[in-house]
Amino acid sequence: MSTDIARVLSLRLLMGESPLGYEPGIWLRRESDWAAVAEQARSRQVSGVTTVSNGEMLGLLKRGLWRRFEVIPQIPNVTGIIRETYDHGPVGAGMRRLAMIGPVSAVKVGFTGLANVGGVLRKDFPSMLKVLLDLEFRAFQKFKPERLILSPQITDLAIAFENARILEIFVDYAKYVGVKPYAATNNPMHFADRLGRWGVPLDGVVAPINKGGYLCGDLSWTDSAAIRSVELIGETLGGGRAAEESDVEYASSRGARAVIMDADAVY
Amino acid sequence: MSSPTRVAVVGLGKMGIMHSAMVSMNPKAELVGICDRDTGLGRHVASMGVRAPFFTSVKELMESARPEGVIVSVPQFAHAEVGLEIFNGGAGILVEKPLAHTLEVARNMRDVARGRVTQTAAVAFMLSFHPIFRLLHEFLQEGAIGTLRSYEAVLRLSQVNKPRGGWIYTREQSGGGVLINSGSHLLYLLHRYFGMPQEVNAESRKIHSVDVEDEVKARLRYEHGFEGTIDVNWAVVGHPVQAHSITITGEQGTISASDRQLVVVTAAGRKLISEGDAVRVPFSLTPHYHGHGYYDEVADFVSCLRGEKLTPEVGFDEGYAVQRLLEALYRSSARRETVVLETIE
Repeated sequence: MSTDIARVLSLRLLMGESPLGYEPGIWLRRESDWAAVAEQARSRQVSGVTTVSNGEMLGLLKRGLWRRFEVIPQIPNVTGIIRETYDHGPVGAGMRRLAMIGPVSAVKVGFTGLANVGGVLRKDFPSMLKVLLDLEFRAFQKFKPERLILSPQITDLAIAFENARILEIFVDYAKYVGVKPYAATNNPMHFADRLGRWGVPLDGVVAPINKGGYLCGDLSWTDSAAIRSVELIGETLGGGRAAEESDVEYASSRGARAVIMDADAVY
Repeated sequence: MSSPTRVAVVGLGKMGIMHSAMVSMNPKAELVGICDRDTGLGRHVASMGVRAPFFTSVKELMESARPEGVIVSVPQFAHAEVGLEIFNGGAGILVEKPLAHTLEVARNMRDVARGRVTQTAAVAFMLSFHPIFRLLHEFLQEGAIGTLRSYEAVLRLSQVNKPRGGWIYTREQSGGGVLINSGSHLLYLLHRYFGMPQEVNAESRKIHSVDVEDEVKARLRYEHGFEGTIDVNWAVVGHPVQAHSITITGEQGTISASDRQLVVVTAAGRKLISEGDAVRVPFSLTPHYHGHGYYDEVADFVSCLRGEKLTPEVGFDEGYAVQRLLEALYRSSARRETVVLETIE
């Protein structure tokens, strides 16, 4: 382990959402496998895990498998919401999300929902986002997260439609619940430009960093003042290729203070 | 620098939002209008930050926004009606796949497009822009594995785990189930690589759906003894994202291509190419599902509208060819007999 850089493990593999495309039903289905991953991760100086809100993942976290790791939630789980809405309808999807949190949290979410009920009924995106953020963050509260990541799908929608308000809503929510706001993006070149113009007070940015340039281009954006003013966390996957130690070193050389790796990189 | 090309989007479901984002990020295009019959969807998309004016009718969109090109992401049973209004309004059209829900409607659309040679008519088979599948085509054209003998093409998706409602699962509106809605991507690629088969033999079954098929298995026979199989299924577990794979065997080796990797095995050894090695992405909303393909297909459409390119990557003629293949496979499955493609025009 040569590089002095924080390492965070992504738990998305189990949900079949890794760019490596493993079948979740085949790989690491048993809890003992995940215990082995946790052990390996510890030995490779991984200090945190990041995941979207997903019942299976939350179950693993709650059973203490990852007790000694910082938990960094990524919310909202856009892919999961689309899938659950498809499988169970909008009401069913909402109920499943509510089932992930305790009754006290559900009451708190209820207040947020009430404050935004008109907007939600009008399909107002900012109102829906506020309710979703609250609904999903409450599921992570028992892990006392210090950092909160906005999902790349939402950040990138804000980039496409030049909508700084989306990020402001997220930052306001993060401050309200007392965590540091980070935004993940798969389009860092564009995000560096927007961040410079929008002046949204984020604490960090999560973005792909790899030698091949997949999703991250030539990395000139890492030199922008806006990116250098926040903590940069690099995602080391290179589009179908597992991360190696040299990828971690490369991310570090580009200014990343931490890297997110998939489970296969440590197992 | 010349002025941006005026592009509109009709149909504001998730594909409409995706296309609106891609137009917004294209430096040569301007999103000048969005359109849907559902005013609630219009409000929803506007609240995401889309500032282009919203219309509830295509006629109004064409008259007020005066787009040079329109992206159509309404259900396939409405493609013809919407498409005709766009053609009559003088604009180019990029229509979501498949071209139509029936062969007859697809043929009419192709004929209309043939009569409007100055208007771009494109079909959004976005896998045609996928770097791995493009690379596969190049390897085949170079004869990397010698004379081709056979292929196996597979599609997997976890979409149907119980009977479902909605137009996608209603044959009259969608034209079928997994084959037309998901498998048409695979059929497009196979047609691009190998041309039209001489005959097909297919069988399908319902697993959860009531009105449409959830699985199709078929054998396609070509000239000179070349043949292939397809196996498409959207009722399996473990594939939250649609997954495609094509393995081709030739006299001198094998090529296997999936969404993420391409592997060539010949006497010279094994060559592995990952998606990350093959593509640089200008903008992507969904890297886990070919986000660059959505960007590239809009960019290709805009290039045609601007006269920078003569024909789109996938035109209505190719869209109609896929529709012929679909018809042959459905006919074979329904009649439980081999269907000769020459009989389907």
